[in-house]
Amino acid sequence: MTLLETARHVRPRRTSLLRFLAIIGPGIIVMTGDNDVGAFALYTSAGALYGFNLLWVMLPLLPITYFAQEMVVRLGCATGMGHAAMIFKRFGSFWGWFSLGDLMIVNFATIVTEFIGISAGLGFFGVAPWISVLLTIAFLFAMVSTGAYKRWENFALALVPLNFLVLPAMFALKPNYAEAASHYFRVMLPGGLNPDIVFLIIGLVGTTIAPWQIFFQQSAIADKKLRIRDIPMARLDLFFGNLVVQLGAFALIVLAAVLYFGTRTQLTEPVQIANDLIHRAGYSYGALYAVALINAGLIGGVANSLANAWALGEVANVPSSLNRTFREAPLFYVTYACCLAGAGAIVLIPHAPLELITTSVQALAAIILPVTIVFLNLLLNDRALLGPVLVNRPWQNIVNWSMIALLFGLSAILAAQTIAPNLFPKTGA
Amino acid sequence: MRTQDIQVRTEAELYALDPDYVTQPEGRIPMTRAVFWSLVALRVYLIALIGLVAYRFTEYAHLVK
Repeated sequence: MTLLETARHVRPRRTSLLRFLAIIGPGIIVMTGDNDVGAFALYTSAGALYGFNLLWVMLPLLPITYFAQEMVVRLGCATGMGHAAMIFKRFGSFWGWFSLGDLMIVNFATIVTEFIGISAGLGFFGVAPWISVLLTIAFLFAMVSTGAYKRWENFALALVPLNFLVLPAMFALKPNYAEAASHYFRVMLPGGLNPDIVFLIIGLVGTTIAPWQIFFQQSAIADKKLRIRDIPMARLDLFFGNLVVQLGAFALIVLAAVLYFGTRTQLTEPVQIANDLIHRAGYSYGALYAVALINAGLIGGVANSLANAWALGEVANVPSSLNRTFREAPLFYVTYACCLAGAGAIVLIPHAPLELITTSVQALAAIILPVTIVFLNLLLNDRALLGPVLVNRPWQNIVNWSMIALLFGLSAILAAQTIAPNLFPKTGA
Repeated sequence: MRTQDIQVRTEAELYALDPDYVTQPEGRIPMTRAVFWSLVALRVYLIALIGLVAYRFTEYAHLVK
């Protein structure tokens, strides 16, 4: 009997902690994967270019991310099925293929960014890029090849604390925490509503709440076999995951702001901060940052590759589970391996536009996000599917449709800026 | 369990019942007004954005280079 099954069969009051420990996983892993290499690039760019001035963007993203992923928790626990298969069944093959295609393209681009970060991080320690790519593929394949979801999850959970290795570097730089915290509540658009800041804000939204998270978490919940009764603990798992994201984002923005804001420094490489930390705080802080970057790439890489493998397997209606062996679920493992091998190969191509891929993938995710969220919200209003208790309440619909309107609005601003770059005049900071 | 078997009014009652997964209903989602207009909006959104976004991405490189 697994820990999860044991926790379900013992008295609830005495076993709250046991139940939580059994259920913790999908929520905290998906949210830690959120702070991936692309997020490192976006958060540090935001800090370097605008100081603390864009921290306010992170505040509304806390409830937005929670509400979006909480719907995934209900849907996954109630149906035991992945998100891709559900869109196919309930919305037809056009939207099904569209969602799957989007997901796989954006995820693949994201995995490329993870490899870029890992190569840069290992490069800090003198490891050659091709060795980094091979090591990463071997490590990430070893993670999933145990034939048991729980073993993979334990592996991934062990990586979560490494996400906090950016904190010592932030502490070492002694930022003004009060000033930074005050910027959470001060809406500012330095330089006005210009295309660059709009693109950066959309990128921040896209990196904090992304389509892969919805697909990944629902599939992970299904693979873990969480059930309706597990919803409250799964929500708690998600809540802690949200705190991990916020803390990581805060540390990265503040770190880059203290290091670079006002210096007109352009962040051209993922590991540039680690190198600069050596001069400002010492080698060990630079090394910790590099390890955090590698870890971000590993969690992001495994999560995005798994999201693709699960989704394709669900749509093809073939076994796709970490509880299956390679022989039992060949498509699942081949998809996973192809994602890693393909992304690794792109990173090794000389003169590939890696910086452009890193930054644009987050905005691409943000633009596709409204589509994913709309389907999610419609599924959560499907009474025939979820029944009267688990469908969205009116207040949840108000929150969700407001969130969707906001995401559409951001995309519309980007579109308007593209058509007419001078539409929004620049103002002082 | 089938969705119509969920005869409870609150989440607490539902958890106490400890049901297994609900089975998926057959066929497409009912085409309510919300579903219809959401799908229309998505089509318009996609048509409007795909070209624009591709164009915009090519201009972003200066922020990182």
